[in-house]
Amino acid sequence: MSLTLIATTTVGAGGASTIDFSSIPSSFTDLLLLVSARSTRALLTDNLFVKFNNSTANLSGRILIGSGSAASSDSSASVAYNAVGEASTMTANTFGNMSVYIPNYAGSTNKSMSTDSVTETNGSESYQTIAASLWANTAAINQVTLYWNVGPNFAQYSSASIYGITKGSGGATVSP
Amino acid sequence: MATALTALATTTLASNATTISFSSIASGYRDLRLVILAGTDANTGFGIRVNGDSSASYAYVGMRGNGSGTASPTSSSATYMNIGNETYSNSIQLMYTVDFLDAFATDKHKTVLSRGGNAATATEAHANRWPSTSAITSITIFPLSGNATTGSTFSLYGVLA
Repeated sequence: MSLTLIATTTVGAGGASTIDFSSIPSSFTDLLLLVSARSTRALLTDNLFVKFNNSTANLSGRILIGSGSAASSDSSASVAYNAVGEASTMTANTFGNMSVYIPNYAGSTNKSMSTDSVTETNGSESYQTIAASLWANTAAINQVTLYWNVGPNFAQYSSASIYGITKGSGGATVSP
Repeated sequence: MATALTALATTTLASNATTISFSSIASGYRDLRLVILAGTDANTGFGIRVNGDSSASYAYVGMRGNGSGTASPTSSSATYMNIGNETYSNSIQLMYTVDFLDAFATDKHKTVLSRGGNAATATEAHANRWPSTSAITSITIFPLSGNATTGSTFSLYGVLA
């Protein structure tokens, strides 16, 4: 099977400071992380980041942001820019969504990731972003952690699922 | 239960290449997804053609951010689908996911959406259209200049409705 659910979690009452997937097997080719999240920060937004193997070293990213009134771009040499996430003064009971694709996660090269995200609110200020990020580390990824820039917590009912994708053959011819 | 995502073919370049082609693509899927993890030797991104069509008939609109500025390229008469035309440094690992929606439909033009880039340079997204009601039978990926470099990987998947 080319797409396999590895693990899924939903945040309970009291919230959670991080969402963490550990002991990820190395048997797949790529990882796909799907997230529905809301921060308890008392503002409209809170940046949402991903780190690997519990390391915040050698992370970088570039992000393109649309706010409904303007487009902007930002970069970081210290965090893997992933998303402008939803925080607690956006419309109640709504959650932002994020999709992160991580190819060749168990390989011996640096780890790239591509992120799509959106916030949801019944208002005029909302955000859609895309980001290209890098963990400049050749180690295989065995742990994926989601965390907020400010937080402190993921709100109850935030959820995340991580999938393994396996490349293969037999359905097309490729050259070279 | 049918598998929603099926691996169709994959290649890792053993030497530099000017084109990478997928052909004899199995039908029976709704969409196709192409995952690219690659580098070039000529400071470029990649383009895509389908069914060998190199005519000036593709249309695209894109957006990209390089960390300080934004751009939105567009064309209504391109000779390829644009998935990344930022100027990238050689040997930097570029990553793209490319979705060919309704790839085998014979009653609509084809929409192709891409995401990707590189953390050191830019993040990009493009929407492309191939104005043909033919089913997609081949996909050719090529760097906009020079070669895709050794070690680059290209993997194709079929997505069921």
